[in-house]
Amino acid sequence: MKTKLLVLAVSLFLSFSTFAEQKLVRIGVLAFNGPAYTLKRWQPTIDYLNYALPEYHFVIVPADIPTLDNLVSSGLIDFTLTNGIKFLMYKYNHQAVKMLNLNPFHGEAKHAIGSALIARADEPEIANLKALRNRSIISVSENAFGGFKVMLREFLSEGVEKGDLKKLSFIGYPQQNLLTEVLKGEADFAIAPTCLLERKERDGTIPANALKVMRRQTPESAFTCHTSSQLYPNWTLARMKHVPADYANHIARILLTIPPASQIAVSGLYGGWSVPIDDSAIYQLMDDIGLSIQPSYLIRIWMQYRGWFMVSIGLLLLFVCYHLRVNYLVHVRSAQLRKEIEQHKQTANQLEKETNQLYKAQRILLSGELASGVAHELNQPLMAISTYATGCRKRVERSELNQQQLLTALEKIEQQTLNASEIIQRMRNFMKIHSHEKEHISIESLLNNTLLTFQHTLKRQNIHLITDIHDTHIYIDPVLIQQVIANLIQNSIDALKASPHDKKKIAIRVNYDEQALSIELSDNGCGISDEQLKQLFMPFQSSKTEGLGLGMVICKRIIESHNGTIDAQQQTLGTRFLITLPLITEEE
Amino acid sequence: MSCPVYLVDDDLAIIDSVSWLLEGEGFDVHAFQNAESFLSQVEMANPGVMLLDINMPGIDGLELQKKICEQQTCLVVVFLTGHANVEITKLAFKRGANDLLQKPVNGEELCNAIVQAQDLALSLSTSRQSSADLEAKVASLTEREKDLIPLIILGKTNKVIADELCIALRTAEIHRHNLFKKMGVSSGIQLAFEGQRILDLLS
Repeated sequence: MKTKLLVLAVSLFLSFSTFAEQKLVRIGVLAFNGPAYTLKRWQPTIDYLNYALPEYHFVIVPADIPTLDNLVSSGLIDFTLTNGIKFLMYKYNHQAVKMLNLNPFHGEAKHAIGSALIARADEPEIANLKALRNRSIISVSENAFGGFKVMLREFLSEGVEKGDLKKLSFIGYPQQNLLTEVLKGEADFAIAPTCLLERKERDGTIPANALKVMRRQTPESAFTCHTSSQLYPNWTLARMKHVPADYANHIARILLTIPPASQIAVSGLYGGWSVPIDDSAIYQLMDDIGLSIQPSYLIRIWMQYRGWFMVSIGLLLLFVCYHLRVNYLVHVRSAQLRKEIEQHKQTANQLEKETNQLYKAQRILLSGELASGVAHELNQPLMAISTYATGCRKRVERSELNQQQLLTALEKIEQQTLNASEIIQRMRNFMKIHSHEKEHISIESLLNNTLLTFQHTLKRQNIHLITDIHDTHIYIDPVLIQQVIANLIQNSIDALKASPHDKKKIAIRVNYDEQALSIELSDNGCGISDEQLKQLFMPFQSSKTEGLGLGMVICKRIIESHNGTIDAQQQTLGTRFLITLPLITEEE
Repeated sequence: MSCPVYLVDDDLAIIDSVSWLLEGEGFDVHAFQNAESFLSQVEMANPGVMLLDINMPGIDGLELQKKICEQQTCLVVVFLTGHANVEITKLAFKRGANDLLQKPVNGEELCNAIVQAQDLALSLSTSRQSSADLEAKVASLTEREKDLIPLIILGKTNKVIADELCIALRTAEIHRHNLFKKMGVSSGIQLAFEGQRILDLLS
């Protein structure tokens, strides 16, 4: 032991002293039982390499799985010595190249690693691995190849998932603890690498025949230890991609020369080296236990394109954000627009309502001017009624009234009552709230209805009315057009007040052609001045002291809303108004 | 004693109803639909009452009244109107309207107004008649007889009259006799009744 340490120290010293000239070669070795054990096991082999290839300085780097993964991926390791699974990982992920396989002491490199299910000697043999589901099982690590992973395949082949093993626990290195735990009865079974039990029994750590390997399998080739599983290829030496092939060849050659029974091989617990062997069994194992050699296709694609992918995602997110923002803005703006449209509608409705109220107000105002005429007109039938009544009474008082006379008088009273109500109805028609609906109406009947309202006034004022109407039907709002005509007639009547008694005239002429209807209304009254003519259709310009100056404005608005025109002209005597209304209208 | 009522109105309903009422009351009603037919058909010298509408086509009520006033008639005008403003009313009364009734008029009121107007027309007619008689009597007097009148009215005796006129007492007595006879009076006091009017006619 001391000599070995000395040799180690010397070699280390030598290695450091010759460090400047020598090329440093690091060999990463998976270490399960701690670095010291690993260094001790492999130092003779390394010494041999250093001796055989003096221009290089070989160093063992014992590492557990994560450490070794890091070293490999960062390129700090030149060679790895690992189990088959780890090699395949490095092969695919880091372009490691297989160089040699370790030979076992006995048997073939192809069938060198397996798992042993170890139980106490008194444990009855199990028929099926399912029986282990509720038994306490221990193993060193989930990642250990010769141990749990190999055994997992056996479990799976008998339909037992890892999750089915309720009392499975991993207790960690050293492996020897597995045996002692089972021996002590802390656990019922241990999953350990093959040959561990034999080795420990050989060196006396574990008493012989206290433990046994369960579910013994028949190896495919000669194998000295008992195994509970299929056997897999031995450990693999691989070079990393940055290591040149030429000196890797040197190393391979040197290693192949190590005889199986030499001290180097014995202390390294192996039976020399062999050329690379078939890995298919490991592939199958990995496949079965669901361990992928390399990241899946999708993951590789992800690794390769993740930059672009992130950029795309970023752009997509930006686009989505932009889209959402645009949508939001559109939504907000639409809401605003809807609100504005709604407001606009309300305003328009309000305006229309108020316009109609204005029209109505003007009609009522005009009715006020008509009212005295109507009141006088009403006096006639009232007077007649009253007189008939008095006549009847007087005759009755004198008993002179016969039935026939009474009936005649009553009939006349009824007739006069009807006349009176007709007069009132005309007035009411003129003032009524109308439905704002246009209709086809005869222009003559419309004009005659309007003139009826004025007939008494015209008679009273001794105004001669001349009408020359070519009748046709026109699509208009009758109440509004009647309002216009009434305004114009009232204006003419006012203009005729000061005219000589027997010469007052109002003329109404209606003509039409294919397109339009024209209504001409003229009087021979006092006429209007140039100044008044200019301001005729302007609001609040009135020549009458009691007028509001709205009549003509409203006439113009009404006619224009019918797509017509209204014009005033001076004549040598009086005023002439000309209204044109289109006959062809779009009926909606 | 009654005189005819002339109704002039362009409204047939008024004509019919008023005629019916007034005929029932025993009035002699003549209705005309316009002024022209009235003017052409009625002898206006006779006493009568006119019920006249103011507003009528053609010649209106006020104008017709004016025409009637121009001819010395015994017609009394009562206006019957639906719209009497101050101007029209003033003008109507200035021209001698007897009354102005606003339509619709109460039947009773109408009858009363007509009766009153009839009385007026008749008295007007009577006074017209008497003044015409007086005029005729005065016209039949000789110059000398006319000279006697103011003196007799002053109550002077024949003797004083004869002195003042430088005529014989007998001549004065004959003149007085003739005068009384022509004037249809039996005493100087009777003559003095109409004295002022006779003096007006003489001057």
